[in-house]
Amino acid sequence: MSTTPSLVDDLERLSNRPRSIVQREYWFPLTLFGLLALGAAGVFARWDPYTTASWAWWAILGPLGGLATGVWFARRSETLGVHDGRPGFYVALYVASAIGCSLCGSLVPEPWTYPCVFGVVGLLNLGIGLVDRYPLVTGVGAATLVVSGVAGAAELDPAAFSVVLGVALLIAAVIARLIR
Amino acid sequence: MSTHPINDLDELTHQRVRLGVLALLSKVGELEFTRIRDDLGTTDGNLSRHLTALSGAGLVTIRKTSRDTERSGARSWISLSPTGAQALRKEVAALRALFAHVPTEGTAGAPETA
Repeated sequence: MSTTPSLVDDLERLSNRPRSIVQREYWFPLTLFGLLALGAAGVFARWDPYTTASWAWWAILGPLGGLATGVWFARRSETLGVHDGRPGFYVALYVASAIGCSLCGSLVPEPWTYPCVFGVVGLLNLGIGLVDRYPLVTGVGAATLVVSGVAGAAELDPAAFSVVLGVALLIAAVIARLIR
Repeated sequence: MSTHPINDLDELTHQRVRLGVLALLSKVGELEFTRIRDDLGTTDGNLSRHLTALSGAGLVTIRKTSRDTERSGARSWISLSPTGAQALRKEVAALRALFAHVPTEGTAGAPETA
Protein backbone atom coordinates (compact mmCIF):
# COMPACT_ATOMS: atom_id res chain seq x y z
CA MET A 1 0.00 0.00 0.00
CA SER A 2 1.34 3.41 -0.93
CA THR A 3 1.24 6.08 1.74
CA THR A 4 2.71 8.80 -0.50
CA PRO A 5 0.26 11.69 -0.69
CA SER A 6 -1.29 12.22 -4.09
CA LEU A 7 0.14 15.75 -4.43
CA VAL A 8 3.69 14.40 -4.35
CA ASP A 9 2.66 11.63 -6.77
CA ASP A 10 1.17 14.26 -9.07
CA LEU A 11 4.45 16.19 -9.02
CA GLU A 12 6.34 13.03 -9.93
CA ARG A 13 3.94 12.37 -12.83
CA LEU A 14 4.27 15.97 -13.97
CA SER A 15 8.06 15.77 -13.94
CA ASN A 16 7.97 12.67 -16.17
CA ARG A 17 5.58 14.23 -18.70
CA PRO A 18 8.04 16.08 -20.98
CA ARG A 19 10.24 13.00 -21.31
CA SER A 20 7.26 10.78 -22.12
CA ILE A 21 6.22 13.21 -24.87
CA VAL A 22 9.62 12.79 -26.55
CA GLN A 23 9.59 9.03 -25.99
CA ARG A 24 6.53 8.73 -28.25
CA GLU A 25 8.83 9.70 -31.11
CA TYR A 26 10.79 6.45 -30.84
CA TRP A 27 8.44 4.96 -33.42
CA PHE A 28 10.58 6.51 -36.16
CA PRO A 29 13.96 4.83 -35.45
CA LEU A 30 12.20 1.55 -34.61
CA THR A 31 10.40 1.62 -37.98
CA LEU A 32 13.52 2.73 -39.86
CA PHE A 33 15.77 0.03 -38.44
CA GLY A 34 12.99 -2.57 -38.70
CA LEU A 35 12.74 -1.86 -42.43
CA LEU A 36 16.53 -1.87 -42.78
CA ALA A 37 16.67 -5.27 -41.07
CA LEU A 38 14.01 -6.66 -43.43
CA GLY A 39 15.91 -5.15 -46.36
CA ALA A 40 19.07 -6.83 -45.09
CA ALA A 41 17.23 -10.16 -45.08
CA GLY A 42 16.55 -9.66 -48.79
CA VAL A 43 20.20 -8.81 -49.44
CA PHE A 44 21.43 -11.82 -47.46
CA ALA A 45 19.02 -14.12 -49.26
CA ARG A 46 20.47 -13.04 -52.59
CA TRP A 47 24.17 -12.67 -51.76
CA ASP A 48 26.44 -14.38 -49.27
CA PRO A 49 26.06 -12.41 -46.01
CA TYR A 50 29.82 -12.31 -45.53
CA THR A 51 30.73 -10.68 -48.82
CA THR A 52 31.64 -7.00 -49.11
CA ALA A 53 28.41 -6.29 -50.99
CA SER A 54 26.34 -7.61 -48.07
CA TRP A 55 28.45 -5.83 -45.48
CA ALA A 56 27.97 -2.58 -47.35
CA TRP A 57 24.24 -2.70 -46.54
CA TRP A 58 24.78 -2.16 -42.84
CA ALA A 59 28.13 -0.37 -43.10
CA ILE A 60 26.49 2.43 -45.12
CA LEU A 61 22.85 2.38 -44.07
CA GLY A 62 23.50 1.73 -40.36
CA PRO A 63 25.38 5.00 -39.70
CA LEU A 64 22.99 6.88 -42.02
CA GLY A 65 20.07 5.50 -40.00
CA GLY A 66 21.75 6.66 -36.80
CA LEU A 67 22.26 10.10 -38.30
CA ALA A 68 18.65 10.26 -39.50
CA THR A 69 17.51 9.30 -35.98
CA GLY A 70 19.58 12.13 -34.50
CA VAL A 71 18.13 14.64 -36.97
CA TRP A 72 14.61 13.31 -36.31
CA PHE A 73 14.87 13.78 -32.55
CA ALA A 74 16.51 17.20 -32.93
CA ARG A 75 13.67 18.44 -35.14
CA ARG A 76 10.90 16.87 -33.08
CA SER A 77 12.40 18.30 -29.89
CA GLU A 78 12.16 21.78 -31.40
CA THR A 79 8.56 21.23 -32.50
CA LEU A 80 7.48 19.66 -29.22
CA GLY A 81 9.29 22.30 -27.15
CA VAL A 82 11.37 19.82 -25.18
CA HIS A 83 15.18 19.83 -25.05
CA ASP A 84 16.23 16.83 -23.04
CA GLY A 85 19.66 18.30 -22.35
CA ARG A 86 21.71 15.21 -23.09
CA PRO A 87 22.85 15.45 -26.73
CA GLY A 88 26.42 14.62 -25.68
CA PHE A 89 25.23 11.37 -24.12
CA TYR A 90 23.53 10.25 -27.32
CA VAL A 91 26.48 11.23 -29.52
CA ALA A 92 28.82 9.28 -27.22
CA LEU A 93 26.54 6.22 -27.38
CA TYR A 94 26.33 6.50 -31.17
CA VAL A 95 30.12 6.72 -31.61
CA ALA A 96 30.69 3.87 -29.14
CA SER A 97 28.21 1.63 -30.95
CA ALA A 98 29.74 2.49 -34.35
CA ILE A 99 33.19 1.50 -33.02
CA GLY A 100 31.72 -1.65 -31.45
CA CYS A 101 30.01 -2.70 -34.68
CA SER A 102 33.23 -2.10 -36.65
CA LEU A 103 35.22 -4.23 -34.21
CA CYS A 104 32.62 -7.01 -34.47
CA GLY A 105 32.85 -6.88 -38.26
CA SER A 106 36.63 -7.02 -38.37
CA LEU A 107 37.56 -9.20 -35.39
CA VAL A 108 34.71 -11.61 -34.67
CA PRO A 109 34.58 -14.76 -36.85
CA GLU A 110 31.50 -16.43 -38.36
CA PRO A 111 28.86 -17.33 -37.22
CA TRP A 112 29.12 -14.75 -34.45
CA THR A 113 29.85 -11.72 -36.65
CA TYR A 114 26.27 -10.55 -37.19
CA PRO A 115 25.06 -11.55 -33.71
CA CYS A 116 27.95 -9.50 -32.32
CA VAL A 117 26.96 -6.44 -34.39
CA PHE A 118 23.33 -6.70 -33.32
CA GLY A 119 24.39 -7.44 -29.77
CA VAL A 120 26.14 -4.06 -29.74
CA VAL A 121 23.00 -2.40 -31.11
CA GLY A 122 21.00 -4.21 -28.44
CA LEU A 123 23.33 -2.86 -25.76
CA LEU A 124 22.89 0.63 -27.22
CA ASN A 125 19.10 0.36 -26.94
CA LEU A 126 19.36 -1.15 -23.47
CA GLY A 127 21.51 1.80 -22.37
CA ILE A 128 19.14 4.39 -23.83
CA GLY A 129 16.08 2.63 -22.42
CA LEU A 130 17.54 2.41 -18.91
CA VAL A 131 18.78 6.01 -18.86
CA ASP A 132 15.50 7.30 -20.31
CA ARG A 133 13.44 4.93 -18.15
CA TYR A 134 11.54 3.79 -21.20
CA PRO A 135 10.50 0.13 -20.78
CA LEU A 136 9.73 -0.36 -24.48
CA VAL A 137 13.27 0.53 -25.65
CA THR A 138 14.79 -1.32 -22.69
CA GLY A 139 12.76 -4.38 -23.76
CA VAL A 140 13.83 -4.01 -27.39
CA GLY A 141 17.48 -3.82 -26.30
CA ALA A 142 17.21 -6.84 -24.01
CA ALA A 143 15.31 -8.86 -26.63
CA THR A 144 17.89 -7.97 -29.31
CA LEU A 145 20.69 -9.15 -27.02
CA VAL A 146 18.92 -12.44 -26.29
CA VAL A 147 18.02 -13.09 -29.94
CA SER A 148 21.62 -12.26 -30.96
CA GLY A 149 22.96 -14.76 -28.44
CA VAL A 150 20.54 -17.48 -29.56
CA ALA A 151 21.26 -16.75 -33.25
CA GLY A 152 25.01 -17.06 -32.66
CA ALA A 153 24.75 -20.23 -30.59
CA ALA A 154 22.31 -21.88 -33.01
CA GLU A 155 24.28 -20.63 -36.03
CA LEU A 156 21.07 -19.14 -37.38
CA ASP A 157 21.18 -17.94 -40.96
CA PRO A 158 21.73 -14.12 -41.00
CA ALA A 159 18.75 -13.72 -43.36
CA ALA A 160 16.40 -15.47 -40.92
CA PHE A 161 17.95 -13.55 -38.03
CA SER A 162 17.32 -10.28 -39.87
CA VAL A 163 13.67 -11.18 -40.49
CA VAL A 164 13.12 -11.92 -36.78
CA LEU A 165 14.83 -8.67 -35.81
CA GLY A 166 12.99 -6.60 -38.43
CA VAL A 167 9.56 -7.91 -37.47
CA ALA A 168 10.30 -7.41 -33.76
CA LEU A 169 11.37 -3.80 -34.36
CA LEU A 170 8.28 -3.05 -36.47
CA ILE A 171 6.01 -4.51 -33.76
CA ALA A 172 7.81 -2.34 -31.18
CA ALA A 173 7.32 0.68 -33.48
CA VAL A 174 3.57 0.05 -33.63
CA ILE A 175 3.44 -0.25 -29.83
CA ALA A 176 5.44 2.99 -29.46
CA ARG A 177 3.01 4.74 -31.80
CA LEU A 178 -0.06 3.43 -29.96
CA ILE A 179 1.12 4.24 -26.41
CA ARG A 180 -0.30 7.57 -25.29
CA MET B 1 12.71 24.13 19.57
CA SER B 2 11.24 22.17 16.63
CA THR B 3 8.86 23.89 14.21
CA HIS B 4 5.93 22.35 12.39
CA PRO B 5 6.83 21.24 8.83
CA ILE B 6 4.23 23.61 7.41
CA ASN B 7 6.74 26.38 8.19
CA ASP B 8 9.21 24.77 5.78
CA LEU B 9 6.92 25.36 2.79
CA ASP B 10 8.32 28.17 0.66
CA GLU B 11 5.82 30.87 -0.31
CA LEU B 12 7.56 31.40 -3.65
CA THR B 13 7.69 27.77 -4.79
CA HIS B 14 4.52 26.50 -3.15
CA GLN B 15 2.18 28.33 -5.52
CA ARG B 16 0.49 25.81 -7.88
CA VAL B 17 1.78 27.09 -11.24
CA ARG B 18 5.31 27.75 -9.95
CA LEU B 19 5.55 24.31 -8.36
CA GLY B 20 4.27 22.82 -11.61
CA VAL B 21 6.90 24.70 -13.63
CA LEU B 22 9.69 23.46 -11.35
CA ALA B 23 8.40 19.87 -11.52
CA LEU B 24 8.10 19.94 -15.32
CA LEU B 25 11.64 21.25 -15.69
CA SER B 26 13.20 18.85 -13.20
CA LYS B 27 14.04 16.01 -15.62
CA VAL B 28 14.75 17.83 -18.88
CA GLY B 29 17.22 20.42 -20.06
CA GLU B 30 14.82 23.07 -21.36
CA LEU B 31 11.13 23.44 -22.10
CA GLU B 32 9.55 25.91 -24.47
CA PHE B 33 7.08 28.43 -23.03
CA THR B 34 4.03 27.05 -24.86
CA ARG B 35 4.90 23.48 -23.81
CA ILE B 36 4.77 24.52 -20.13
CA ARG B 37 1.62 26.57 -20.69
CA ASP B 38 -0.19 23.66 -22.34
CA ASP B 39 1.00 21.06 -19.83
CA LEU B 40 -0.13 23.18 -16.90
CA GLY B 41 -3.34 24.34 -18.57
CA THR B 42 -2.72 27.99 -17.85
CA THR B 43 -2.65 31.20 -19.89
CA ASP B 44 0.23 33.13 -21.45
CA GLY B 45 -0.18 36.06 -19.05
CA ASN B 46 -0.45 33.92 -15.96
CA LEU B 47 2.57 31.81 -16.85
CA SER B 48 4.60 34.93 -17.74
CA ARG B 49 3.91 36.42 -14.33
CA HIS B 50 5.00 33.29 -12.51
CA LEU B 51 8.09 32.83 -14.69
CA THR B 52 9.11 36.39 -13.96
CA ALA B 53 8.86 35.65 -10.24
CA LEU B 54 10.83 32.40 -10.55
CA SER B 55 13.44 34.01 -12.78
CA GLY B 56 13.77 36.97 -10.42
CA ALA B 57 14.52 34.57 -7.58
CA GLY B 58 17.11 32.77 -9.71
CA LEU B 59 15.17 29.50 -9.77
CA VAL B 60 14.79 29.33 -13.56
CA THR B 61 16.68 30.69 -16.54
CA ILE B 62 14.89 32.09 -19.59
CA ARG B 63 16.57 31.95 -22.99
CA LYS B 64 14.96 33.67 -25.94
CA THR B 65 15.50 32.49 -29.51
CA SER B 66 14.01 33.61 -32.80
CA ARG B 67 12.42 31.30 -35.30
CA ASP B 68 13.18 31.42 -38.99
CA THR B 69 9.59 31.12 -40.16
CA GLU B 70 7.62 34.27 -40.80
CA ARG B 71 4.50 33.31 -38.88
CA SER B 72 6.18 32.61 -35.57
CA GLY B 73 8.03 35.07 -33.45
CA ALA B 74 10.59 34.63 -30.70
CA ARG B 75 10.46 31.51 -28.55
CA SER B 76 11.37 31.33 -24.89
CA TRP B 77 13.16 28.27 -23.53
CA ILE B 78 13.04 27.80 -19.78
CA SER B 79 15.49 25.74 -17.73
CA LEU B 80 15.87 24.95 -14.06
CA SER B 81 18.86 26.51 -12.28
CA PRO B 82 20.76 24.58 -9.59
CA THR B 83 19.07 26.85 -7.03
CA GLY B 84 15.69 25.95 -8.55
CA ALA B 85 16.45 22.23 -8.38
CA GLN B 86 17.40 22.61 -4.74
CA ALA B 87 14.24 24.62 -4.02
CA LEU B 88 12.10 21.89 -5.61
CA ARG B 89 13.80 19.18 -3.54
CA LYS B 90 13.24 21.20 -0.36
CA GLU B 91 9.59 21.79 -1.24
CA VAL B 92 8.91 18.11 -1.92
CA ALA B 93 10.71 17.15 1.31
CA ALA B 94 8.61 19.71 3.21
CA LEU B 95 5.43 18.32 1.64
CA ARG B 96 6.38 14.77 2.59
CA ALA B 97 7.16 15.86 6.14
CA LEU B 98 3.89 17.74 6.31
CA PHE B 99 1.85 14.80 5.08
CA ALA B 100 3.58 12.58 7.63
CA HIS B 101 1.98 14.80 10.29
CA VAL B 102 -1.57 14.54 8.98
CA PRO B 103 -3.78 11.46 8.57
CA THR B 104 -3.98 10.22 4.98
CA GLU B 105 -7.25 9.31 3.29
CA GLY B 106 -8.83 6.20 4.78
CA THR B 107 -7.04 6.46 8.10
CA ALA B 108 -8.61 9.65 9.45
CA GLY B 109 -11.06 8.71 12.17
CA ALA B 110 -10.88 5.04 11.26
CA PRO B 111 -11.22 2.70 14.21
CA GLU B 112 -8.19 0.54 14.99
CA THR B 113 -8.57 -3.10 14.15
CA ALA B 114 -7.02 -5.99 16.04
